[in-house]
Amino acid sequence: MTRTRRIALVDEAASTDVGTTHMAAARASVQAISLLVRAHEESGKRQNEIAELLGISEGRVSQILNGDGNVRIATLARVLAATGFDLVLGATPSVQGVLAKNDPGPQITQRRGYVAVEMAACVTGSGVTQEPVIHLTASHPRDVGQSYDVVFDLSTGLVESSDEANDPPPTWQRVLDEE
Amino acid sequence: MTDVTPVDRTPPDGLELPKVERVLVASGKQHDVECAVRTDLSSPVSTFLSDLREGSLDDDAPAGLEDADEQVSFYYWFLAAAQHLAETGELPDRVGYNALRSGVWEIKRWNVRVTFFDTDGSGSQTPKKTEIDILRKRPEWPWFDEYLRLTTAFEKTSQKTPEEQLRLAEAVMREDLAHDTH
Repeated sequence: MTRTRRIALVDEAASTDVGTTHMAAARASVQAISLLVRAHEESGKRQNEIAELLGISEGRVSQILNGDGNVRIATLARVLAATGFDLVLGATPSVQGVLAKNDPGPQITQRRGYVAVEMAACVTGSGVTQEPVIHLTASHPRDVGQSYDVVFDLSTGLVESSDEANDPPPTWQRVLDEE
Repeated sequence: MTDVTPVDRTPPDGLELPKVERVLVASGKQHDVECAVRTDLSSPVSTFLSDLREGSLDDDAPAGLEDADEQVSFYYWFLAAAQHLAETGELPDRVGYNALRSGVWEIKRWNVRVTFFDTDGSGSQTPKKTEIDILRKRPEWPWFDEYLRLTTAFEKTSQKTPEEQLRLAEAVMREDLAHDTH
């Protein structure tokens, strides 16, 4: 039985602003618990040792470590510190973020540019070999006088060979096929 | 929560069961987590999740989920947990579970239990044998088949799972698996 292409409830949730924010909170609480559990295991400390470091009861430590992950940032940081870890917060743009949905302009995830590959002669201890030299360019290499053997257009996904009679180098072609 | 009133849902001989589309909760590298479908095409867990999402669980909402906001939070937590399970093959840390019987397992959070079974999609189900984790007094999480089908949801108010809930989960499992053989 092959998997059918249905929209999962998870993806439905991510397609609305309200759902996106709720899912973000849910994922954060799941991750917070995982962080606490793993830091605790890694530290090798007993719960009463953590309780003593924090000046709270062992019961409270157990509540935090066995809870639902909805802890205050400060509590999370303190418990992690007691287990020998520093909390580092970060944020990454969401793929279908609120800004992208409301922005009538280009998608923020659109890729532009070119990856040009030129096989260049390289002198090594074994003699002269051909090695690929890779250039990342905003404009087509032809437009800026850059020589190339193969160029990959990031916005269209098309591959172009400078010599249409020759195939791209085998290794490069395999990478494209796997993409 | 799931109605346990016993109803004979065996289809008459010769009746063709319609093709079913199960509500997909999450899909990942390891599993598709779906809501099982009964013979009459009802889906107890799908209904439960819808009620949670709307914050409209009725008067017998489990303890801790009386408030609509709590129900909505629980809904999204469940989605996040299901996504983690689908992607990694395991439940998130500290999410409880247990093996019930006949291949039916349960996910535990607070007083809420969501039962499920696993299948390869061929219409059969093979209960997974697993070692017992003596420290945690529960079975080790086994390597489940590709599809995890959520069968029922109920509030656990006693130490042992009520027999009618076990029978209901088994019945939903049988009826759901029958769809895969048609």
